Amino acid sequence: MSLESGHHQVVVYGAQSTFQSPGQFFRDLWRDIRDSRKLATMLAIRDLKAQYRQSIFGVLWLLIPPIAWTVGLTVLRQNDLATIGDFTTNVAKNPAYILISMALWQMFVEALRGPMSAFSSNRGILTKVCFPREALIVAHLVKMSVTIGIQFLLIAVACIVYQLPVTWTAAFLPVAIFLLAMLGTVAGLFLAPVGLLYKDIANAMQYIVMAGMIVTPVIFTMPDPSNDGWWALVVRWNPATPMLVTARELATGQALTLLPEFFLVSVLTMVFSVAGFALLRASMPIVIERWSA
Amino acid sequence: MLESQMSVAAEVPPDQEDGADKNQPALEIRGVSKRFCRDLRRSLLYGVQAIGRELVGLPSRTGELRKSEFWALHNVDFDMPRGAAMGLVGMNGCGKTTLMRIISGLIKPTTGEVKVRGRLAPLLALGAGFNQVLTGRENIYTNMTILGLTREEIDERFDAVVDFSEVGYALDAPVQNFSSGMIARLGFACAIHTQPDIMLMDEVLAVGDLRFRQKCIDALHKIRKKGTSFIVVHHSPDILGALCDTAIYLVGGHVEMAGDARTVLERYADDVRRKGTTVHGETREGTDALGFHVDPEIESENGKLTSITVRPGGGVVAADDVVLANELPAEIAFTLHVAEDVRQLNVMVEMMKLPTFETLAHSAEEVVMAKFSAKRDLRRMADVPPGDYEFKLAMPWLALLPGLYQARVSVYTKRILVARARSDRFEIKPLKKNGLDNRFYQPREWTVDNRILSRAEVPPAEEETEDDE
Repeated sequence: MSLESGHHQVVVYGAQSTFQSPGQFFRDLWRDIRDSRKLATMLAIRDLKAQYRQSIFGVLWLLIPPIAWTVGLTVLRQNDLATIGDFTTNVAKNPAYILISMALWQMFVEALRGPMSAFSSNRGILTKVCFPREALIVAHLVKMSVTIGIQFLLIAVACIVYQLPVTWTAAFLPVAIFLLAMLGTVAGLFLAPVGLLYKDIANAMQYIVMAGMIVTPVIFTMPDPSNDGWWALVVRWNPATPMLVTARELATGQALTLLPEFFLVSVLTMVFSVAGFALLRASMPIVIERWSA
Repeated sequence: MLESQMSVAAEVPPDQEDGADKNQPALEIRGVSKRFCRDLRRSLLYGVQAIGRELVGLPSRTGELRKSEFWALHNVDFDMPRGAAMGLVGMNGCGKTTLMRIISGLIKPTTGEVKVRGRLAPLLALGAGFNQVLTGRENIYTNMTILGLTREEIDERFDAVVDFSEVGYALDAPVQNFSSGMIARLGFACAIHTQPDIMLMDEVLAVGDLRFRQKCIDALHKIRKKGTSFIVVHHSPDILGALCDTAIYLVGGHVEMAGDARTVLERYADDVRRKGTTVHGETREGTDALGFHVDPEIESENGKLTSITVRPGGGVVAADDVVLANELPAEIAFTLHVAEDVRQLNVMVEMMKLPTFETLAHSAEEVVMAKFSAKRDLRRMADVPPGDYEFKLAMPWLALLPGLYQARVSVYTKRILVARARSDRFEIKPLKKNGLDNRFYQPREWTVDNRILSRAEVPPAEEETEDDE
């Protein structure tokens, strides 16, 4: 941009709606997302350092939640308690399989909470310095990729120990994980503007997550609509379902049962991500005004 | 990229840049208004509506105020030339900070627009974005990255930042162990080393000790020579006078006066002095017009001070406009209402000298110039039954430094404070000119061959005090 070219860039802060010149708006948005990679990396490193400096277990805290969930669920399943759907296949009882499910779900939840938590925890800077705020979202994605990366080291060990077969399809896993994270982030972006103004959404978040776990095949396999009625339909139409199931199937080398849905949701996610970023960009000055007035 | 949020409207083509760009102002503020809502719940509702309007691309209804709203800024209009140093003054709540926020792109104006030419470094709070757990070193990197510098640029300037901030010895300690002065120094050092084209400073020079303040002022002069322009918000007209050549005086959200710094600041200081704490009713509780903390009046079930009057002594009846002069008698009269028995009553009177334009250079705080304790003067104090008591403290002649004062009366039972109140402001004028290096006013007479040299019976006239400055 013009800073490098040695003459002064002119910025206008006006009263008019940002979408009155959409072309300019989206060009600026794209420029800021592109230019904010370095800032985002820096912010991600800052947060990771600060987060684990005050703890004894440090980075181990990335592994503890999925392990805890997995141990609990494994005990339940191996005693045939709390099983929903078809658990005749042995693979669903494999702790490594459960670990993969939980890691993916945790990441999705983390992504969903991401925009709101990233913005509210950086309130101090946001109300004092104008910088590309998209960097905070990108930073959150960077932090999540570090988390999931470390978790997959654990998963790899678990797969060997519990002899869960891994096939070449795992090579596509990063793409599927990225799309799952984006789905969560986009949903979070749409919640954020109102969620940053009113506390209601933050309060409701834990129930939203709980409900999400009931309508997404995380701790159970895909239900059969002919047997399980309307609940099975909700699970089937839940956009998180094909993303999570496909990622898990890729990791464990199973047949891809929801591939068309996966592609559909992926395309929609990418389209809506632009809208989500735009919404956030347009609403942040309004939110910041209410934070600091 | 700092100025990210809004559209980059026009990039000046390089061929036009040389001649034209230099003469263009660094900042153009055109008809900027901003409305705020006093009611939080309603403000949130308006916020959601505003987001909705943004999305469908409707301009917000800007002309009128809705319920509970007020204009924080109204039709503010000015230019800031490149390389200018501009002071921004006004009473609390006049819109200074709002204006700074709009210029830095944090919030949008309700009407009008702001044009910013060049890289802008907002310094609206020192150490904004410092992480408490991370070290000074780590925070320098994140802070300057947020201000728009690349890692290489920070590497280059790192030593200079550390040097300037004088926190080198604590560089690897977490910032939560830093004193507020250290954080202030680090924050200022980071901002000034981003080498911005325009710098905004909101009250940031108020932190830190005198020596560091001087250092900041020197640094600002230095970067200004390189073409950086800045706007400084500060409550002390004196510091602004030392820094700025132009100034803007905001009253109730509009530009009351703009132009030469000295003229504007003097007018502002004058208003502060004259109107005191009641200027436009905009001062916040617990602070006076200059933003200084003021101790609240105290009353209890034991006692209450109902009136305090400071007036010329010797039987002269006080007019509305109290004039007190050194070398002339004065008295402080106050009424104490006692509701419940007060045991071992003690009364203390303090003469508080208030900060004014002339004295701010030395101190921004009020100073207790004299303190009189009835207990100390009279050795013992009585127990007092309920009733109203009229106290009078007579002073045969005043010998205090000329200036603006308040008398503060405190009432104690044993050692417990039961009531405290202040008189109105009053000015003590010197009968003879009092040199600036005097610590108090010494009543005096000159004689030659036993003949008293006098200026005749000149009453403390207006012009007397003015050329005293």
